Amino acid sequence: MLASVKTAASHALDCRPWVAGHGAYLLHQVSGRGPIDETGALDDAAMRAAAGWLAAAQDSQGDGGFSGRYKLASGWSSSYPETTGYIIPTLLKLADHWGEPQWRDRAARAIEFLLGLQLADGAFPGGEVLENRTRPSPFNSAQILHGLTHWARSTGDGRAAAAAARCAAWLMSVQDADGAYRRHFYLDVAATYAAHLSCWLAEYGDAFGDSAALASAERHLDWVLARQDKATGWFDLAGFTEDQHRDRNAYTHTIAYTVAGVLTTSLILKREDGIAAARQAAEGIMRRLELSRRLPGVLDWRWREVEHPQCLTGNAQMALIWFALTRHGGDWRFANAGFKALDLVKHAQLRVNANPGLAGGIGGSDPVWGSYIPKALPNWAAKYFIDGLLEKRGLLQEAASNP
Amino acid sequence: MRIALLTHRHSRKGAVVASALAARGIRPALIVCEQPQVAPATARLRALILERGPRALTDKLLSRLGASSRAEPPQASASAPLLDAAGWAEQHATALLDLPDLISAASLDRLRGEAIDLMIHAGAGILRAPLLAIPRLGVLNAHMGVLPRYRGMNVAEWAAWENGPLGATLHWIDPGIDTGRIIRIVPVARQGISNIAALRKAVDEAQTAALADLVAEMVASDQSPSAEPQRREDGRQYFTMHPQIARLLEQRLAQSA
Repeated sequence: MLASVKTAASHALDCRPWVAGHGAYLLHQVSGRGPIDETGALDDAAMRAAAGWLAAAQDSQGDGGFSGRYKLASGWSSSYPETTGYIIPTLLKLADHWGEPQWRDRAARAIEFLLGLQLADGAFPGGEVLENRTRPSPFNSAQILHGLTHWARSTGDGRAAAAAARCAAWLMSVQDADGAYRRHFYLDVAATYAAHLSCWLAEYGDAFGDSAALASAERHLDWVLARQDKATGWFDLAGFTEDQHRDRNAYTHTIAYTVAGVLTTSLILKREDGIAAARQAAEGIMRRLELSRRLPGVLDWRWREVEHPQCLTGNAQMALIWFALTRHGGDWRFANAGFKALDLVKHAQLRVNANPGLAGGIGGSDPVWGSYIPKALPNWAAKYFIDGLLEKRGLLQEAASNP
Repeated sequence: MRIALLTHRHSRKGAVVASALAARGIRPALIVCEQPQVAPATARLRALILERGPRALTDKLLSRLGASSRAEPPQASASAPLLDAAGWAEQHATALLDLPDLISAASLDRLRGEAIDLMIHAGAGILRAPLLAIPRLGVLNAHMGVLPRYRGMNVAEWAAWENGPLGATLHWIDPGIDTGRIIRIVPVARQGISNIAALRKAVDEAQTAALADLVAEMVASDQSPSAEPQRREDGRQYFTMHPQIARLLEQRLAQSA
């Protein structure tokens, strides 16, 4: 009892409850959230608040990049190139959705930031800019490739297209002969969540007619599919660490990266086996959400709970996968799960707060002291939440107009 | 034939099934009432505070003391309350057996001692294999969807949403969810159904009538009906329909009626 009180006190002190807005945010973790909004009445306000938080994350930095996260212990971190890259398509969607050019302007600033970071060989550095500007990262480069591809297609910006081509060429150059990515990965260990790397090569290849990029993506897809447990749909090596690989568990964040990567590549390449593999995994995770009425943050190979706190970005990422499967196969059980997953993220969001680092942001975990990005609000959680709400809106509108 | 209904005390479905049987001259030997499973008190308290804040605690405490801060006078009921399983048993002088659960060894032993020929699932929870082995003939269930396609929850709604077949299925229960051998499928016509409540009522009435008819046939013949096994891969499991999809379904039903 005393130990748990000490732990709680230590957590609370780490989170600096005396800083503006922190006390209210911490209280919101445990108390007075109100009922879960299952009506969708709060969707627009939630999306506005999350977009406002993203804007604050960019404005907190002077370089056009998006702060990686707001840490309760120390405030905004420095710009994070990887996620700045994949926030760009979100900003373009917001500009179209709301008819507000400011979001496109923000994307333009992000592009300038990224173009200034590209390494001589076409790669982009991993991590946040304060910790690294020189060591390349294939995974992070691919997320930036995704942003460059969308920006180049949307604007015709030749500089972005050229940067995307160099980045894609570098990614292909560091792929191993068996299709896996090991070089420049953590401990040189291959991971199946790199499916969320190769899918952007497939997207790039499809957008710019680069058959080598498409072939490279397909080689990686085959490598990932060979690591699927056919009984449950689980993909081995989907976690961050060797421990997770050994124990066959992972955060829903990287599980979703894996499944989304497999699905995206398979849809582009029209690989029915890949779509079926993604569907099998997505169905197992859907079942977990439905039976548990929440999505535990870490799942094992049988889709059973390993850690109780939710990984909120994982919820939003899974919602996007479920929505894509609904669009592809017309199975609304998946959309049904996606709506519930987003409701849970919405329930964890504090829309109004005196601190712009907290208002509208999405915690790494729910509660925020869970083990995924503990005591911090990462920018990718807000990004995927917005993507999810936009996609949900589109699905519902189409269903209403095409019964 | 000794028949037992598996239900819980406050189940309306238990009373409805018992009434339908009684209308065909069949009186269950026993109404087995499982105690509803509830989350632990700490989990319920945590959820309450998460939703409503610390005030929920004082409200709860005051209501326990009979002086809720939000106390309102009880509303007079506009109509007589619907009969539940316990009420039906009392009204019809039928034996009622309260059990804490349907899985413990003590509960199963108690049921074995009743020498039941046929059990009917009528509002109890999920049944496990050891219980299913107790009755001589098996455990019957009426399901609100067409099996094997529509397994799980809200299947009447899901079938309507997908423009699939509406109906109910009578089947033997096995350890899976709605995967047991199929005895009979009862179609329900879509015409005139203009909302979800009407949809559920139509399917519910069809399943109850069909279930009671089947039991009457079994009592008359003292035989099990023929039943077809279903393959797991032939169906999908559905879960509770999200309110926003249900709202769209309401609109579709209203437009199509």
